[in-house]
Amino acid sequence: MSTSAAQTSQSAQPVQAFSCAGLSVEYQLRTGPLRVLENVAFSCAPGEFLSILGPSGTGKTTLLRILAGLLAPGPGSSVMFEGAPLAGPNDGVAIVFQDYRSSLLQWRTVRKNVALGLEGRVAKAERDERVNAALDLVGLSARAEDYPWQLSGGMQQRVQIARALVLRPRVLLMDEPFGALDAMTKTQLQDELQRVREVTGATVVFVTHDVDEAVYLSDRVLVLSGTPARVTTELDVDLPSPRDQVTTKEDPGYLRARHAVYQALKGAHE
Amino acid sequence: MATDVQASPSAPSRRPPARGRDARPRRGPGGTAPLRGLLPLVVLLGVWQLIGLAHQSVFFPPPSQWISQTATLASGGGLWTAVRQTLVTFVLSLIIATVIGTALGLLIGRSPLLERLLGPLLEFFRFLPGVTLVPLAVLFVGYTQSMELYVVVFGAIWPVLLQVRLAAREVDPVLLDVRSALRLSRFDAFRKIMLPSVAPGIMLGVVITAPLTLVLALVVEVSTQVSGIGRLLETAQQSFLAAEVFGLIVIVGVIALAINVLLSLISARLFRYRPSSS
Amino acid sequence: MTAVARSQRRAGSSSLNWLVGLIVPVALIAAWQIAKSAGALPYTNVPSPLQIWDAAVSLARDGQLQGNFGHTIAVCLIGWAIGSAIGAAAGVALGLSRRVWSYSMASVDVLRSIPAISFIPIAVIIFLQTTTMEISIAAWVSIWPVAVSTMTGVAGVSAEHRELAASLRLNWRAQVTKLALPTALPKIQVALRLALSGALVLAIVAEIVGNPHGVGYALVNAQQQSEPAEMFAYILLTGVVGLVLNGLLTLAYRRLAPGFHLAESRRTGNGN
Repeated sequence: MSTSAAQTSQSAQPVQAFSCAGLSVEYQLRTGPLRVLENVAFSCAPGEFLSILGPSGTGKTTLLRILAGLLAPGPGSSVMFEGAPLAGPNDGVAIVFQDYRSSLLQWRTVRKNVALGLEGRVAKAERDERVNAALDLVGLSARAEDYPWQLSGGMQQRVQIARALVLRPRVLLMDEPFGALDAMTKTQLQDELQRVREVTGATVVFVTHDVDEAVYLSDRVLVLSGTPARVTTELDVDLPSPRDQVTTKEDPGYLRARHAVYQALKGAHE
Repeated sequence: MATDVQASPSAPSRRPPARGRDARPRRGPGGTAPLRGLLPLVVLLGVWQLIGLAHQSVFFPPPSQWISQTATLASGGGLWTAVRQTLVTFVLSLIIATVIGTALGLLIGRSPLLERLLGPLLEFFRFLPGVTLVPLAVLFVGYTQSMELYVVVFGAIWPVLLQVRLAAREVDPVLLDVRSALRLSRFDAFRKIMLPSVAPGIMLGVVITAPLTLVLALVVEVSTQVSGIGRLLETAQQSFLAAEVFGLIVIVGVIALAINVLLSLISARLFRYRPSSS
Repeated sequence: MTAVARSQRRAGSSSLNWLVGLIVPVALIAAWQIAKSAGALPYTNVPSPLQIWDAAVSLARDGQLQGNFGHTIAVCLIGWAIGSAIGAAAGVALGLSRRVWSYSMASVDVLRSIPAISFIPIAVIIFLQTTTMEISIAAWVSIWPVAVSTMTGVAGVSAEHRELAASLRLNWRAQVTKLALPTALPKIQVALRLALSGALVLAIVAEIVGNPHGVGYALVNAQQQSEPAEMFAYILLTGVVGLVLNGLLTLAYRRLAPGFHLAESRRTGNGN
């Protein structure tokens, strides 16, 4: 995976990866309209690791799907991707879903699952090469010919990540990707995600309800709360890189950031 | 995959509008088909009729001829007798097959020994096309109504047997402990525990076998011309009376549809209080 | 015996079970033969197993057995293939397009409810007593189960997969071939099996009623010439053919679509 492409885009344009203003979304339910997001505004710089944090059900997933181009925002919203209005799923953006089991194709091997996005788009030789590189990056080269149900939850999620990475996205959107995993696997994958990000230089927008996870991984944290939800707090996380599960979490800066986030969450509730 | 394409003014893309998890469900395969789906058939019949008025066709007479030909059959050709015969065979066979199938299913399902002894034999017989037994039955019993019953019942047993066997096997073992704990007599235990437990299996078996039973009855009638609608179909075929055949097809279709509707009503009521059975 | 002990008793080795299962048929056949040889069986019409065997052998010797079965099996397979192809195509259209479904499903329901057998006389009138007639009926009966299950399967693509397709910007063709059809495959496999047995049955009926070839005709012939041994031979062999065809289909499924078989057997817990 080359980093030059990502770096060029970083240095050549001060344009934000994402820029939203006045973003609102309304669901049409059986019982009537439900306003999920109201006046959400934020921006995300290229190469940044941005976490979107909030209690369950606030609409974090909705926001992510809008950024992925899968959902149309309500009237009056402005969603810009790299300076241009977002008009649907974009080649530069890849999304990793929370439920790996229902998102992977159970009838395809790991290799073919990863290759899905490239089929019909690039020549076979290049496709094989990129698939192998992606599998290598997530450490699943040995399991390439297995089927998803033969893999553990953590490994299946890695397959999904590889599937996203093989597209060489400039932005990686992740919807509570480690939410369904046990604590140990979660920390493992968090560190792998860091490593992947270092290698690819991709921007990451990471949705989670886990405060520790958000602080540990991100450069910036957005707190989304309320009904309808809006961005109640934006925090910069000023911690050294690369982060380590033990030492970083003992860093006073980490505890400060964590404290601040919890305060923000509590404040939003009052 | 037919996503709702409702572009909002500010986003000229094909993204779907926001829908919550409990938004109104989309009508699609799986629900009841809307009546406008009959359009192709109606159009076909209409065009057929129009062409038929201008053109004479031995093979594809227009619907109006079906009606007139069938009416002739009804008034003097024994149509209603035939329909009655087929329906009687159907109902009788269904009842007998249900009783025998349930009995055998219970026996085999509750006895691991019988299961092991008879298992492969059952597998063989359930795949044996019932139609092959028709000439055999004719040889032994001759061209009679009872011959028809033998063959149809034989073919109709299997779905009931298999479903009841399955249900009998899966009777919650705890229930049997209940029987010992309450010291119920064998008869009581059978009536109050076993039968209700396998009742859904019996119903499912009947629902599956009913269309089969009708088909089998028709098969026997068509092959042997013993009685019933099948016989009329065959005689019409041999006289090259296409219009009569089509008319009879419609009648058979109506009967089949009626049976299907009846069955779905019954199973909807009976399965209403249970989580979906196996 | 308590529930726990009972369920422990139920487990047994499968090959032993198989052998035990053969005991009854073998014993029955032996008893049948003995009863016949001893003259104990009152029905003179019923042949003994040995007589059935002799009849089968002589039929095989002069090629009749192979010829008839060959004909019926060929008709069954050809009709089944044609009908399944049409059914699958129709199913894809019905499953993918709500408009198509809405404007034709009721007609499909009506047509598939009419027992296929009632169309045989029309087929005979049109195609006369030919092999084409047989194939047309075998095809007709195969269309419907395959169409309905393809439709259900294709429409059952999960919301998650649809989102995945949108995020990867898969074009329409890719969505059908990579998502809809694989999702539908398990249901299609079941329907193909059903259609196969339907095609076999209808082919035989068509032969009894129409085309003087194949197993159906041989059965009627044997009946009219009062050759019960021959009839039994044909009947038993037809049962075997049914089993074999089914087994071949299962084998084909395992070879051609391994991903499904493995996932399915793991989910349902049986090893077939």
